[in-house]
Amino acid sequence: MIAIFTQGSLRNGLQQPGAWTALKISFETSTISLALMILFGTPISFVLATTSFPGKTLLTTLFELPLVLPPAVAGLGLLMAFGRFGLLGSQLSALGIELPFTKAAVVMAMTFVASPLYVRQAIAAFGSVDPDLLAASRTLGAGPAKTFFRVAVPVALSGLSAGAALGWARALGEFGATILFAGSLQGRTETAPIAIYLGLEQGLDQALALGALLITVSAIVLVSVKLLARGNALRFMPG
Amino acid sequence: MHMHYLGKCFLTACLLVGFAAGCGSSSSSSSGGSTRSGGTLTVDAAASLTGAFTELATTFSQQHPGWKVVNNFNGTDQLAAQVEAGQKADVFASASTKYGEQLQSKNLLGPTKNFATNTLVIVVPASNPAGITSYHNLVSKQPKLVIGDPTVPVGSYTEQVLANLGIKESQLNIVSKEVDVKSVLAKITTGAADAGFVYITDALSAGDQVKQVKFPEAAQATATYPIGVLTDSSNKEAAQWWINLVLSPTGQAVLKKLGFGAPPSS
Repeated sequence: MIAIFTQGSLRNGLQQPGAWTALKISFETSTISLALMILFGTPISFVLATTSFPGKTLLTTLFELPLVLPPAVAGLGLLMAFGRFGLLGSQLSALGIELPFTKAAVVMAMTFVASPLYVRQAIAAFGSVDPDLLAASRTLGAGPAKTFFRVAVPVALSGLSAGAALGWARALGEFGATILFAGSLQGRTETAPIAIYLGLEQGLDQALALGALLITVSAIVLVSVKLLARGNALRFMPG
Repeated sequence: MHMHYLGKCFLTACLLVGFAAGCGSSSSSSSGGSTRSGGTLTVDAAASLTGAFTELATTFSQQHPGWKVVNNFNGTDQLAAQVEAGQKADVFASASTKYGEQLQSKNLLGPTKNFATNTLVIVVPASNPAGITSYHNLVSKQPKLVIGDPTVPVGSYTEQVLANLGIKESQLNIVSKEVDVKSVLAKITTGAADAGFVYITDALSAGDQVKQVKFPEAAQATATYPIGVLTDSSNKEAAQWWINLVLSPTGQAVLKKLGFGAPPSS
């Protein structure tokens, strides 16, 4: 990583015409993807962490599978499921929905590949919440929803934030599944990692510069999330 | 908090692993062998040569017992970047003369010989969902068109063809500019797009998954494939054997079978 900074010029990267557009799309799509992960991943993780039911291991494995799948396979899978000739393709096109080559496709690819990172971390975070704490909340008359929002989430927040940071970072760096499912068009689906790959042709300098830029911005966001999480964790620390 | 610490560890591990993987891929394998009786020959070859060079590698091992060919297939632009970054290989065979010249100007590549040509063709999914029968339909029917990004060879050839056909990009419904020709082809074979520009060799390799739509020969852009020995090669003699094989009637027959054209006579 240090090599990228010593060999590339940050200013050079900022001057590249497509650089800002690609970065903007990357941030837009990865943020939506993160929102989806939190929205759906948090309740699912809570259920997986606090209850036991037949087939739980199988379900957990299913959620974790995209983590070990080569991104190209993930992209091909999405294409096979949601593409025109895919499993759901005919139903979707009957509704007038065509996903490939859209920003929605970029978000789907990112969410598919990155959500296991968040879910894994969230399961661990909820798993380390003292069950007595949840039981006490229920005894004191709080419903399951209130217990989830007022007790479980605040106590697990630091773990959840770390998971969110990881998930977001993975979404930001997504390349393989995106290029297969969403393609690449400047201003629509060309994300920063794809722009870096294509930038190699214009000379190593351009690609290095954009890479340096991506690392800088990612580092800033990751550090802010961590600081935020630390602040929250202190505020909600029980006892 | 405990989880927070774990999270940090995981992140650090991810970064370290990612970094190590990155290092590994840039310093690709090469033989240490100065032995004349045998060794490993590393060939950097354009992705479109996958079929041909894989077949010829077997022939090479039969002709020169003890020698093994390792083909490093990648987009020509990626190969050139790898060589510039100090990757050790013996032969460079690319899909465009531009990158050969680029490497020669940096003294990384010796003299080259052109060994094949490739041409472009429009491909549509076998079911031809947009009903494309001629290149005029690309404008009149506004099919979802996929082409190579202009920064990769197939994309720049596509730009030339479109210009020769008198079609402006703004008249087309381009849904994606892909990072290489295989990605363009995948969008057609999976039916994600209606039409795409690929090399004739890729169209042939896809078999009956795609249909070809021809356009006038006069508008064709011809890709010329040069081959040469890399300056850093420690197996220069064997590298020359490989080049001789590719240029020999045996090599040329394999290339022709897979759709490549003969090298320009000059």
